[in-house]
Amino acid sequence: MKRIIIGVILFCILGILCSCSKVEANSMTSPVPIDDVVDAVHNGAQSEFGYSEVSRYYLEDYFSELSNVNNVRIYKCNDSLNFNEFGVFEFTSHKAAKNGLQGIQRYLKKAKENFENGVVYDIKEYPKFQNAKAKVFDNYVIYTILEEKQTKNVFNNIEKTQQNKGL
Amino acid sequence: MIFKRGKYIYSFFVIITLAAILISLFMMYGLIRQNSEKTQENFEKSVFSHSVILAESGDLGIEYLDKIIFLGESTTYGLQKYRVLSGGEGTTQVWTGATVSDKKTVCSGTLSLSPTISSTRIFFPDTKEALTIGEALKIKKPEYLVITLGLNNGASYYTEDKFKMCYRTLLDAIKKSSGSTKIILQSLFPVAEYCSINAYTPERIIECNKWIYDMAEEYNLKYLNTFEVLVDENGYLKIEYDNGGDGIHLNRKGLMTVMDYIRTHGYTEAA
Repeated sequence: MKRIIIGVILFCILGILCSCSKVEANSMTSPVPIDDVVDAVHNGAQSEFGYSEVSRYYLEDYFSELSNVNNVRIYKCNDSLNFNEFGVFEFTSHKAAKNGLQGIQRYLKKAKENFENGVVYDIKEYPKFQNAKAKVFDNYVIYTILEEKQTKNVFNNIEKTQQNKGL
Repeated sequence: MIFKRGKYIYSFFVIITLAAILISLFMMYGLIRQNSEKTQENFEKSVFSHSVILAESGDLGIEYLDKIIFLGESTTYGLQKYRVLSGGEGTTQVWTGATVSDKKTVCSGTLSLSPTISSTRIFFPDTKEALTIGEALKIKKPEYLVITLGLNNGASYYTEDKFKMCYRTLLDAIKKSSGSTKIILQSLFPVAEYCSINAYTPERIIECNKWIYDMAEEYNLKYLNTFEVLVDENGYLKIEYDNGGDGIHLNRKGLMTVMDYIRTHGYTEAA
């Protein structure tokens, strides 16, 4: 009888622990505000002439298929010969972010094709498209069309930002 | 007798009706032939309003050209490279993009139509700084501004909505910065038949030019149809104007032809 009771208690504890982690993975709002994420990306992708936000145009043109998106911030470089670009997508949950990743990767593939099919003024920009990356961080998907070193800096910064917020 | 008269009247109307049908058929055939032979020139004459398009004005000379700032992509940069303007290679009349090279601001020689065109930095030759188009206009306040944009990005893959949205972004910024400047939207130039960019077909260039014309009409500006003096009968750049590179850029002769066209299709008070 004692063993049965202990077994039931242990089972309940296990169940509670599992449901806690499930809630954490599917949190409706990320503990890291999008402004902090954008700042972390900016700091890793600095450019002399800065960036301009193109979220509204790009969302309608290229990302209309994405669902469960809370917020989007997309930026392009103001240098006429610099194709630097990055996007920060805040989804409603980690699961939604993972689902959205494919759509964003399709955009990166299309961006590379557009570069290949247009007038190429500076072939040194092409590796940015070849090495373009999209990665999931909690409820966020971040994509980068940057120099390799900048991409590493960006993703390191994001991880540090998350660690600072205790994730 | 009445019956006989009726018979004649009936026959008369039948003949008239048949004649009318035959005449209509001939007219329709003639119209179809005319439509199928339409060239870019004919298309423009039937669609473009003469109050928007800059017509022949007589030669306004070099003095007129000297008052113009040319804002555009690499096809415009050729004006500086080939020393076509009064200032030669040191001209301060050509505005294209700015970039950074060895930590220094330099002219990139190109500029692309985009949603951020009003924030993209151009190389301001007077001070060699990187400024937005609006900032540059506030300083320079040119009498005329000829804009040639849309081959990069635009003709490559933009939809009509996106193309026009980018132009609106640019024109709204320009209007805020220099209300007194007379703005001329220049057509894209044709490209050579051998050009390897698949998107740059004669039909696509003409389509983009129609959108540029629409923007001129929408903003009550002028449209300069330089395309017509550069194009051959097949819709391609005349080979004598091609610089033999990628089929997109004009040689000196081509650019001088453009200058001649601009000064003989001037923006006067009567335009």
